[in-house]
Amino acid sequence: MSRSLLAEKPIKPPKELKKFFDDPPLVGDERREDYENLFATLAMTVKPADAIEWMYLGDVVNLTWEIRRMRRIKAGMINSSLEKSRTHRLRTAAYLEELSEDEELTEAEEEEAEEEEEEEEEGEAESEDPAALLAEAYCYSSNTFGYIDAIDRQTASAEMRRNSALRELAWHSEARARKLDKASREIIDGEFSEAAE
Amino acid sequence: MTSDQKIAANRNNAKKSTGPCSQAGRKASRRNALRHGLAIDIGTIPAFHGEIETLARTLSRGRQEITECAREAAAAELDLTRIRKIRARLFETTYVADTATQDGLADLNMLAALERYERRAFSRRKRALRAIRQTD
Repeated sequence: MSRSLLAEKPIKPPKELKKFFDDPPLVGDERREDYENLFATLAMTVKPADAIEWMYLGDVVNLTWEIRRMRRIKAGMINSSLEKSRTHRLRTAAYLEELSEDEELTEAEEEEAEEEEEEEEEGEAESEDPAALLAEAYCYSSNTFGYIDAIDRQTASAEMRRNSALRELAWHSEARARKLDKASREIIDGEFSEAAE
Repeated sequence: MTSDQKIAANRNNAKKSTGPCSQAGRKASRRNALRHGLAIDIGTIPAFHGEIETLARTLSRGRQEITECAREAAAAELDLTRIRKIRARLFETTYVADTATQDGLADLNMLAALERYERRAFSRRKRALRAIRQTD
């Protein structure tokens, strides 16, 4: 989240609770500043009234962060698989070209080779379809399936826990839970629709 | 079927294996079964007592006495924070750090299994917080 969603002065948690939010569970190159930005944005939306509501806000922030992390990992896996399959395809094409250059062809064989080349070019244009490329990437690195499946299960679990936190917040304050649900969904979906564009 | 002679020999040998005898040996082996420490009740760790009391007082909202529900909710909240940090650290050492292992898929599934501790702490806190609200 590079852009700041905050226009007003951020709301801070009470002193007694501050230490619970001071050390966010970040991983790898995740930036503390981004986490704090997300926290402040959701806090501004909900404006928690007491310690209990701050606790549920903390849950939703952590789980929103986790869901975004999982989705980023999944997107990274698909992209890396796509890249590997592209490289493999280029290497195979270069190798075949080398082989054909080594052979001495008769006139009839040359004509046949040209026809084949044209057909291949047409085929290549067809396989530039993104779905076909993705399918090829999946087939190329079949062990990615297991990882994506595991990531999907963890994302689903985090979404379930996020929903439980929102349900509990709704038990305490329905209006705040509704606002928080909307804002956190917008942040999760917003990031990925922006990336897709 | 195992013969009587063999059973007697096994029993005799078992008497010789009573674990470490020295203080140092006992100290080293007492943590053998410890994997991540997430199953330990945080209320039993003295280092957390002060924090539990402080948060419980906040949750008791100015009442003279700290209620048992407030204490339970505070302990569960601390547990949740601790579990999240430990999971993030495990995630980091499994995937991001130089020490990352080869069998990433098994590690990912192991991390997913640790979520049950978080769900358990969440349920404990939920029950305690509802009880606090009902007594308000």
